[in-house]
Formats: sequence, C-alpha cells, structure tokens
Amino acid sequence: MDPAKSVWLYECQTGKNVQAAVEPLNRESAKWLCSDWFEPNWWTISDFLNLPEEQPDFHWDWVALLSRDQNKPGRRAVCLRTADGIIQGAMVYRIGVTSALDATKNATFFDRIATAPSNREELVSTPVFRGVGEALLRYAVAESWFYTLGGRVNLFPVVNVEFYVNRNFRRTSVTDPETNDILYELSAEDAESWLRDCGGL
Amino acid sequence: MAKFTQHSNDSISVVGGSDLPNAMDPTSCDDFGAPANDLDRRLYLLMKLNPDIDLSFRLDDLAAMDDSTKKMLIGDIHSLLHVAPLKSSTL
Repeated sequence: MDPAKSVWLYECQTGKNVQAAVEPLNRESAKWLCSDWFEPNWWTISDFLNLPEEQPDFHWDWVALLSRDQNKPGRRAVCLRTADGIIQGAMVYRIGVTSALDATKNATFFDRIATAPSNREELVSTPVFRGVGEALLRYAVAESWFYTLGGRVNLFPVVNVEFYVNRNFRRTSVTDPETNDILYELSAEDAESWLRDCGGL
Repeated sequence: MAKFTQHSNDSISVVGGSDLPNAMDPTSCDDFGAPANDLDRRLYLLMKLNPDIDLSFRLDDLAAMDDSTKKMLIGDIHSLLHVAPLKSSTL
C-alpha cells in the first residue's frame, strides 16, 4: 500500500475541489512558513484584514522543529502544495506514541498544524482555500493507518474542542502538566469509519 | 471525492504548543541508524513498530533493495497484519 499522495481542498473562488500534493516538509519549504527568515513568506503574500502577528504560530520556527526531529524516524513533517506552488498548510506529527484510550496500542500525535494565513477565516474576508486543516487531519489518520496504528490520532485541541468532539474525538485523562490542556483522541473504530467516509477505504 | 472539503469553514487553523508526557512518547529518542530517504524511512519505521513480524531479512538489507521490492515488503507487512490498502491516494 502506498501512502496518500494528495488531498482535496475547497477553492473558494471557483467553488471547486482541487488537489493539493502532500510533500515532506524540507528546510527550504519550512523557511517559507516562518515570519522572520526572509520575504516573501506565507505571512506576507496576502493583505490581511487583521493582525497576523497575533496568531499563535506567528513566531514558530519551523526550521528549528525540523532540526529538532531530524534524527527521530517517528517524527515527520509534511506540507500541502497546490498547483500554483503555494504551500497551503503544514504539519509536524509523531508516529508511534502511546494511545491514551488503550495503552497497549500506539497512535499518531499532532505536534503542530498550521494552515496558510491566507486560508484563515479570522484573518481574511474570504479564504483562498477551505478545509486545509481538516485535510491535514485526514492525512494523519491515513498515516496512522499505514503504520498499522489503526488510524488512532491524538492532539491537544487548545481551542475549538467542539470541532473535534463532533468528529468523535474523545476526551482522555492525559493532560499537559505545563498548560493543563487535555488530550483528545480518535479511536481506531472511529478512524476507520472516518477513512471510509472520505473514500480512503 | 472527499466530503470533508465541502465544509463552509475550516475550524483547524493552528494546533500546537502542548506536549505529551515523556512516558507516552518513544519518538523523542534519536536514532542515528534510521535511513534518510522517505521510502526507506517508512519501511524502517513500519518494522520498528511491528517487531513481532517474522521477516527473513535485516534492516541493514534495506540499502541493497530496489524500490519495488521495498514496496512489496510494505504490502506484505500490511497483509500479515490485515491492514486494508487505501482505495485512493487522494483523500
């Protein structure tokens, strides 16, 4: 079985679904996501209605994240690139963490997800693409499936908890001791159902 | 076609900032023996995650295999573990 190679995104201007390629996030691509490496980058290519500086990821150093994880095979990073060459979203994730719902199983953990600022409802009047974050989520579930983890994925929602609960993510007893955020997890049963719904199985 | 791209908005714009307890995260250890290229790394990790699979080759043999053999090996592991293949490479 090959891993998934692309995802569907909704292009707001045309009202059509278009494909975006899933690529490993390399150092050059990672620099494009940073606000302070060089310009242009994905923080400067659009006119924003609101202040992008207030976004929680404005100061994330994606290059440093890649360096941190480069010798850790269970840690991966990907980006979604549309045909125009623009990166529409990126994700750093970990394969093989312990499941919080079943400690005898493994899962995939979302370390970081970010959609391009031009796709954020809170920054622009009309996003270029919708569904980027959810596409990354689908891809991670498929990765969990590929690595024989049953599609289990977990994350700290921080905000929009309802979004995940509506997609059957379950509250677990695991918390981050520093932030007190609660870990949510999608079970293998629900992940398989999700993959079937999106045409993956 | 994926129905999830039809949503009127995308409620996931940013996730990150909290971390798992160390005890849940064996991925934090460096492994300097892991191969660099994507396909090799996938196969390497797949086998690390499934140490009970009895396959008659060693991880050092990866460098000597061609890509089609590696893909066949991945398929064999999935078959052994009853992991259904994805119907589509676009999700």
